[in-house]
Amino acid sequence: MDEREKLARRASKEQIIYANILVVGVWSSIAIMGITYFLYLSNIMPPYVDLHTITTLWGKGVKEYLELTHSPHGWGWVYFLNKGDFLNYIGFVLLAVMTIICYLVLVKGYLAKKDWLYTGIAVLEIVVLSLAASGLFGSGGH
Amino acid sequence: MKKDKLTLLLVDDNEKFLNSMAERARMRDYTVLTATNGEQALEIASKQTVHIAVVDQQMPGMEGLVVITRLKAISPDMKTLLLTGHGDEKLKEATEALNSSYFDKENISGFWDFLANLSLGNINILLVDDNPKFLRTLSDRIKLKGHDPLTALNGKQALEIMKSTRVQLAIVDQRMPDMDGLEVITQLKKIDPSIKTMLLTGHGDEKLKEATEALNSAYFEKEDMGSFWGFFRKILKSLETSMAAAGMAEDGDQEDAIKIEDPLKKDK
Amino acid sequence: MLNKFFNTMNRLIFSSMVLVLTSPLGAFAADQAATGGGDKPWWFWPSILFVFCFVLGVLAVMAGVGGAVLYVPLVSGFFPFHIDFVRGVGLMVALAGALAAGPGLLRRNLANLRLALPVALIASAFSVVGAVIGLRLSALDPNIIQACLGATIVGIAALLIFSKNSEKPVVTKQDAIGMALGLNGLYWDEGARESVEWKTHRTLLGLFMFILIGLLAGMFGLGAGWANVPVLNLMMGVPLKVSVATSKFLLSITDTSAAWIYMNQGCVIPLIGIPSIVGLMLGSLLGVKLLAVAKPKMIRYLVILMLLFSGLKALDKGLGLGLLG
Repeated sequence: MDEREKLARRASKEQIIYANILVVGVWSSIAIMGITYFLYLSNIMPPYVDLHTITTLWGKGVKEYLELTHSPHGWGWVYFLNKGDFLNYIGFVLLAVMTIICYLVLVKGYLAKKDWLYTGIAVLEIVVLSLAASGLFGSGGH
Repeated sequence: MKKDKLTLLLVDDNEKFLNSMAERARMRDYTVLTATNGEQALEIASKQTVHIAVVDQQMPGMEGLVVITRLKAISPDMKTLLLTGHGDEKLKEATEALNSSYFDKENISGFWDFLANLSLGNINILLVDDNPKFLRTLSDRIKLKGHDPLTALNGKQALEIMKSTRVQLAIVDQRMPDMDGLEVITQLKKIDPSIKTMLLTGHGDEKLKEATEALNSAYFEKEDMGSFWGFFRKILKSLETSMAAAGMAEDGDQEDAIKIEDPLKKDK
Repeated sequence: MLNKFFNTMNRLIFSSMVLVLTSPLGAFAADQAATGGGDKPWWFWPSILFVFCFVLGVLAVMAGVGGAVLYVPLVSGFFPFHIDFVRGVGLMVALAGALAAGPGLLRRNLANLRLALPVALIASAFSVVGAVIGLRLSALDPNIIQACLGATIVGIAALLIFSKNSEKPVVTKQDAIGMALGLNGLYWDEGARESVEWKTHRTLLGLFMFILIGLLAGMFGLGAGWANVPVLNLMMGVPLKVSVATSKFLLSITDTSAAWIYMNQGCVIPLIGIPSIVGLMLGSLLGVKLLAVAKPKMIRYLVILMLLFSGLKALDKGLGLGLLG
């Protein structure tokens, strides 16, 4: 086999691990979404907001919607996991948190290579994503 | 705490190039050995531990590719680089290789690289066929499954490889001039009876199909963990590939999308 | 024969898209969207949404236009959901697609991490800003967002029509920032069977562009592939293959931060979200299989036309002109 081909095709160890985590994470969350959606629609786990109510309110802005349904915002949904609709958040959150987890792997890799610049960039990214996830920015409205 | 120096073997019939490369390599702290032809190189490799070999392809007598194959038969862990360029190009190639993490001292053992690849088990596959084009096509297909197959153009080469590397699966073409496929398989099994083999009796596309089927069934057999996990991983891999192809297509690179999704498709 | 099946499927999809655009069904949907469609059973719209997203997934792949950029304008145009929820789910859909594509691209060393990381940092930081602004604006008056979205979409459609990607851009000299970050690489060109070296130029300008890209992505809930690729490819000189793959990968990072903002605000409704995500992904899977046998050129123009139409519609709605119903 051509050595240059090997060189060009070669993905770094961190890339491989990142890819492995992602592929398992993404498809797990899709599978979970399928299950929770079924539980939701079949009413095996009754939702917090009635299905028909949603159809009357989804034309309204999010703030109004939250008010009228008394829905939690931010991380409040955690307390409502036993409700069919909020149960589906598990899948969404899994997707949204994947990148943060994968970046931890990157940080480890860059630290080992003593690549301070990229370690810094990766850490900053984790900070940005975590801040966004925390709900500190613009959550709750005013 | 200084790590042991790595031994680099440079092989090139052009003495001037050889010397300038040797200089550069010594500056990067390698122990450098030189050879102007394949025979010399093999002699050196059989007498001393060589970690890395940089070999020129264009040489009278034994060409670079053959030298590398033989070197690897002697020492399978040896990292090798084949120089295919000319003049300045060649020098650049060699220098880049030395600079690149391909020769990263931490990763000098290819074993750890393989581990990083969550592939369907770490098995060595040997392909034997007198047709280099077919060898390449099949080899590409196997590489996509995450393996680096070993190749041999005839029975003799195959046996040499077999003597130094543990091979779990051999795919052998029946129609070969020197030793026919059946004979090769018999010999291979004499060296290691546990090897799984597949004899290719077809021609052209038929042959490729045969080989691919062999690979797929051999994978299932290899998965002692219960072929459920093997099957599961196969589905994941297939989803991964398709979504990657979809991603490429969506953002405007449809040619490459098709290549990712269906690598054996003939170019229009 | 399988080929025949695919060809008929191709024609079916093509003609059904034409129907949707021109037929009274389209008008009906738009009308329903206007009235809020509250008189239907709860499963009505989600079911249509699922099928719609499935078709969208197929078309996106075959047309070479991201499902992530098609979702928001089309869904907000034809479905009765408020733009807040459309954007929230739209980001989730884009995120899911990018995350699903990521592993395959990383493993083949097509997506370049070194290039992606600094760019993603900028884009993701500003997509947070864009998301916050976008939500504040829509709370103020959703028409502002509609109008801006419409204008942006029209611009995107124009960009898609007129921009010509460069397969292997010629970069003579790398600039200082590019060199400092080490933005160069080697990838394997299967077609030419050679390894290709590349490096960037105009890196600083490119990085600034990603500020704008992040803002737009966050504000409108769009996946920014249509912007990432030209900036990486035409502006920064990265080869097309690497640009496309890296763009898809970095989308997953940019959209993660914006998605969190929308999710924390409650904009991701599961009833709408899950059929959209699953529908689009299934559609993409089929689309890729069809890609090998179908002729995409027509589809691309059709889809861009649809995009243009939906952009004009959003503009019209936002400005209250009422020209396009």
